[in-house]
Amino acid sequence: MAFNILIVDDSSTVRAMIRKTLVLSKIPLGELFEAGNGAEALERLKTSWVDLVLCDINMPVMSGQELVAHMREDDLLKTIPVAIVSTEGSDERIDELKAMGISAYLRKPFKPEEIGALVLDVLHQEPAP
Amino acid sequence: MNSQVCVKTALAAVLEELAFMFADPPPLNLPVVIPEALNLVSIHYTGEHEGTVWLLASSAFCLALHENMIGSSDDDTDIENKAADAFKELCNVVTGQMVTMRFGTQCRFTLSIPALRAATAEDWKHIVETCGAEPLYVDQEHFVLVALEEEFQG
Repeated sequence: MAFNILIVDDSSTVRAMIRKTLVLSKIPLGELFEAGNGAEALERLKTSWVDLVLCDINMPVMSGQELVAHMREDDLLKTIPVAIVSTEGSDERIDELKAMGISAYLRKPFKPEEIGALVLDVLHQEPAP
Repeated sequence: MNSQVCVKTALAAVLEELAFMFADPPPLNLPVVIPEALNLVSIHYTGEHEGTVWLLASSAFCLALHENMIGSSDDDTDIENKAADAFKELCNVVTGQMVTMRFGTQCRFTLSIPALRAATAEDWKHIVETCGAEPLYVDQEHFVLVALEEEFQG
């Protein structure tokens, strides 16, 4: 089974870093989608099947936290796992996101292997030999 | 920890982790040369404490940063905008790390979207004078100035 992943970050550099990491990993990938903010991500989620959303918090137009809130109110989107990848360090905000049902949290700066491990963990996949 | 030491420590740590670049104080016998074609990025943070992180560096540094973060690729169109984006992301991560180092994880902050503009030697001198900032020397090639301007409340 190949997984479709949506990368949501206002930085094209971060999106490229995550894309490159995923492509070089042994995770079975379908399509990799990108969005520059939460609103663009919602538009993508309306038109494409996505297995996992990797999402920043601090973005213009619609933040990652707002995106998670919108997804949780939508019957079609609420079961899609969301992993937050952010520079946010506040315990309170991370607890809020966990209470909203995020699957994982990874703080920037991250190592490439941490992204791979996070995706495998959230998708319940074993690392390829 | 002194505010300028804190933000310099955050920058050095983030550069190493994010881009495998190494930042040190300039050697004592090396005069600081303010780079030409300067970029300035700033992020304002609000919450229990408020302030602004300033980051100044040359376009050459931004290009090197971008290349170290994602490597060169066949698609190197629009490289200057991509380098500028990498510089903004560096400021974003440095600010996030700095507020945690300085105030802990119990405080909650909101970070502005990074603001980027071209800068001059006058901007560099002004930030050195007003914040007491000192540059770091990255990969023995680039002078990078980082400063923290705190706003005291009450």
